[in-house]
Amino acid sequence: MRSIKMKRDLLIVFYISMILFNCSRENGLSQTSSASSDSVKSLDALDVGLATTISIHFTYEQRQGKYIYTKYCSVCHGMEGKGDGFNAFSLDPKPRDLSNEQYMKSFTDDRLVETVREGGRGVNRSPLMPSWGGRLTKDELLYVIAYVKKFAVSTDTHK
Amino acid sequence: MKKIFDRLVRSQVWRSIFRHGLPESNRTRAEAIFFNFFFHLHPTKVRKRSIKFTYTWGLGGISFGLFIVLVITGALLMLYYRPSVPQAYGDMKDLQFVVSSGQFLRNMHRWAAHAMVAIVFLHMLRVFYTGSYRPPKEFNWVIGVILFVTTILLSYTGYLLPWDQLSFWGISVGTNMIRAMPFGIGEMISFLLLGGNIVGENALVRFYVLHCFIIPVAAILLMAIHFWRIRKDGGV
Amino acid sequence: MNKLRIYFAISSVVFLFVLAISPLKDFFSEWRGYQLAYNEIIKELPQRIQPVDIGIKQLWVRKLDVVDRCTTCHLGLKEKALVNAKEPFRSHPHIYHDFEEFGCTICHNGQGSATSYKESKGKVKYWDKPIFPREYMEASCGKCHKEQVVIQAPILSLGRKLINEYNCAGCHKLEGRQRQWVPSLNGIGSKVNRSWLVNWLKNPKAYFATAKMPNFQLSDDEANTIADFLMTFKSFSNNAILEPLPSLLIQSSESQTATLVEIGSTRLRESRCISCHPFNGKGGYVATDLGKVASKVNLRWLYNYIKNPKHFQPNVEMPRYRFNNNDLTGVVAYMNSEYVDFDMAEPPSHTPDPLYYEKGLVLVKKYNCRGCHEIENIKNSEELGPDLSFIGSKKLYEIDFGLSGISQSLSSYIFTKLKSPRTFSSKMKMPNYELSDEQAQAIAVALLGNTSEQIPEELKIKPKPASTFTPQGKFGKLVNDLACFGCHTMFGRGRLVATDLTLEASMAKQEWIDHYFKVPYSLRPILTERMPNLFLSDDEIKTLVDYMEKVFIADSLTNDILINEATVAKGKLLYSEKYGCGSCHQINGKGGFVGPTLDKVASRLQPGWILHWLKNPQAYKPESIEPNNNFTDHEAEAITAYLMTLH
Repeated sequence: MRSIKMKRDLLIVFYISMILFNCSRENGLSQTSSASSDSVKSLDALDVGLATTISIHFTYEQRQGKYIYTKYCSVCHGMEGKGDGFNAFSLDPKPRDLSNEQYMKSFTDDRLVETVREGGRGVNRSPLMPSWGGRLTKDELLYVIAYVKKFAVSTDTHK
Repeated sequence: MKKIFDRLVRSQVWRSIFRHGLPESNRTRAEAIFFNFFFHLHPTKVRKRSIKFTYTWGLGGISFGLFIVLVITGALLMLYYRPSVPQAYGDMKDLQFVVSSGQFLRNMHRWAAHAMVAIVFLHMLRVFYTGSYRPPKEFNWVIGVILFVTTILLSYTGYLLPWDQLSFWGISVGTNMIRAMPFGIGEMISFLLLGGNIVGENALVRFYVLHCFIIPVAAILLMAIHFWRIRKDGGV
Repeated sequence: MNKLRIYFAISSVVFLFVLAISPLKDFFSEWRGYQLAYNEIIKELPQRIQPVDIGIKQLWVRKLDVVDRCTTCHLGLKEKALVNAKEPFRSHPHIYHDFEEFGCTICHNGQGSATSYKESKGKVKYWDKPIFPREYMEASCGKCHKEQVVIQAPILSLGRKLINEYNCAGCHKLEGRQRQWVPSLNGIGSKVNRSWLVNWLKNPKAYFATAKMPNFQLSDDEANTIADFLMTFKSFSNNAILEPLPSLLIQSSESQTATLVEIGSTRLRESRCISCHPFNGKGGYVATDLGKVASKVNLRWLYNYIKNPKHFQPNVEMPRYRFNNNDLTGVVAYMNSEYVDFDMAEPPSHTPDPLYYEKGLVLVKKYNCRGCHEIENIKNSEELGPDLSFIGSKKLYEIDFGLSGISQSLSSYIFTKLKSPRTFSSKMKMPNYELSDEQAQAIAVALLGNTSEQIPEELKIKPKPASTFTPQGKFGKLVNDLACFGCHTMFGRGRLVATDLTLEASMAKQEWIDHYFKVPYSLRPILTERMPNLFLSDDEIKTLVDYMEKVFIADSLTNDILINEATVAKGKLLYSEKYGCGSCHQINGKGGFVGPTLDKVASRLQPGWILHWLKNPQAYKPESIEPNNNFTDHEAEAITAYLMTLH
């Protein structure tokens, strides 16, 4: 008796998740924003070990970007881009809050890529931000920017 | 103008085609009608009741019409189809998706084939119920039965050509049934049909040749005899 | 007769109309509509985009012999300006492969030859490769990429890792997956207590949350019978015999116990058990949780096991600590006092079945315990699960969905099967791994990539052959005894919990290594996984260091650095001003915590190593997150010179 009930509950959960998934897919078709339905959470596949879960919908670029961000950037900028990584408190000036919508909007993608590529000193900011141009490929820079831009968008719009 | 026309009429080529020249006398005029093939598809004398449409329902004519449709659409389909394992299914998909009116051609061919089997069968029933198999037409009945078998065979051989799961298993089942014939005959026939023991490349080519050449030619020959005998035996 | 003529006329006209339908349908086809719409849309964009010529477009992928007509409607795949356009015109995400080279259906499935929306998605009758759901997309990477970790496909890599971790190969045939080492059950009767065993069999996760053993959903009866059966296995492999406990442990006064426990607590911390073993969920992730171990095993086994782990559990990756007798007694006493499960559930009461041995054997065979665990009198695993080598090509009609009512697709079948294995039929035997949604999704992705599709060999990326580096001689014995491969990698073999030792001697100075073995410390204080103190003797340390100095070294990495005031000053400036090294590294208590501290780096590292490392860190440790700053030779030399002054 109990197992039947359990099964039923499970099915209900499954249905709901399927329905949600379907809704989001419909949105993906009609919306003009780049929201698509890749909800992917665990990224500790490569023993990054720091991944938390952000359950918003990710595109391929953002997914790749998340992996790169978690590995290289999150130590200072924090998992959610608030500039509160564990390494941040020893830094002066503090790492940039990447979830500041106003501030992030003032940059074009190219400028953001340049900042990551050349580091702080390349764009006349604090040299504490290293330059990642030697480590990350062109593609990877684009991915990480695609992911970083997610922080500055209030999550309500991603339903 | 008239001179040119005269010269044309008197030329060797013209006379070889129209052997009698323009019908100028009453006799030749009459002969022009008498000897016209298309005016004399029917025998000179038929029973009155068999002229009525509801006697024959025109079933033989309809099957012949469907056969013509099948020949035309089949010939067009042959332009796009290659009977080989890697290509057959893809070609069929291409017919469906990219060839202009390709899907229409396939559908025509398919529905005409289905209809032909049904109509030929009805035709046979009609012949049976009107007793048209009785002397002197008993031989024509036999030819008719053979024609019915060729129709079914045409339908069956065409079934393999799309090379999808349905056709693969359809032919596998069919040839395995043939195998059940005793004294090793079944196995021989099945081997002959498939060109091997399984449905493969050889089977596809054999069925293709059977479907597009051997059986249609046989059917056409048999039909010619069939029609000729109807004409001679006084059927409609 | 007149009537007939009218019929004839009407039917002729109808026939003409019918004939006209087909060319009309061709003309007003779906794709033409999309192409016209595309040409309209691009007119309104600020960027200039080449309008499309009306007509069917296709990609012919010669090496795969595939024709994909998806680009007939998906027109903006290469146009950067259409990132946010509506489907089907949106540009394709930037990926590592050029789709013009590989086509679409190799990754997305679906019907590539089709030219209508419905047909191309492939969710039609008689097309058994419907389009891949996006959340399982990375499975397609796995069709060609057979290596363990595909950096660009994190979900796939996670799935493959989980498949190894949960030892799926124990019961299922899986191409390229080896069975993992799992503790042998020989001697389990002399190791654990029966109540614990029953509880564990009923629900392993109740003992500790990250237990790898799945829940077999056994009934009380079954669990009791199996426990009775297993408790009969008293003798260990290799005829190992448990030594008696030291008398101090059995009977000691309270004050004696207190001192023992104190010694034990210190030794336990020094030996960094927590680097591999979690304690009630906190600590490393390589080994089992020790938080309640005293309620699980008996003291005599624990004492003997710590004394020589490999003696009782061959191939276990646990180092043999060089405790002296007193320390060992202390450690065992401490564990016995501290790591007890005070609220262990009472196992269900039972009266032993007279036929428990026979019945137990049947059950153990039925659930294929031998698939993972070695058991003395069962030679081979018999009850295998289905072969999963080509599960990704399983056809829908081959799947029994039972009464589950889930959506009928292979991906949702696998997902549901992983989440609750016995949903489809109660007769199934697969145990419940209690996976999270993400884990189940990742494993499903990894499994879906196992297809029987014919992929040209030259396109396949094969896994690297596993390294068979086995050091010989004294050093080899020590490495085996200390289970170095459990944490370190050497020449491609081993885990990467700790550093790769392949170039250790080129990197670190001999005196430093020597000292490090005696007093290990962590270069990065935030790490949990630190080097344990193995209490090695001087002789053993000498053996290790001598070998490392000969083998773990590359001549190309020796360089002399010119150290003078000018370069040091320049290096310091570069370190603090230009490159901001201090954001990750500490010197004199200032700086970040990401990299190792650089205090006294001159006495730790070789100058040649620093120089080469600075120029290209990932050449030596690909997983390192150190940025590659593209230093010029002068800059790298200057920084090295500066660092070499930090004694």
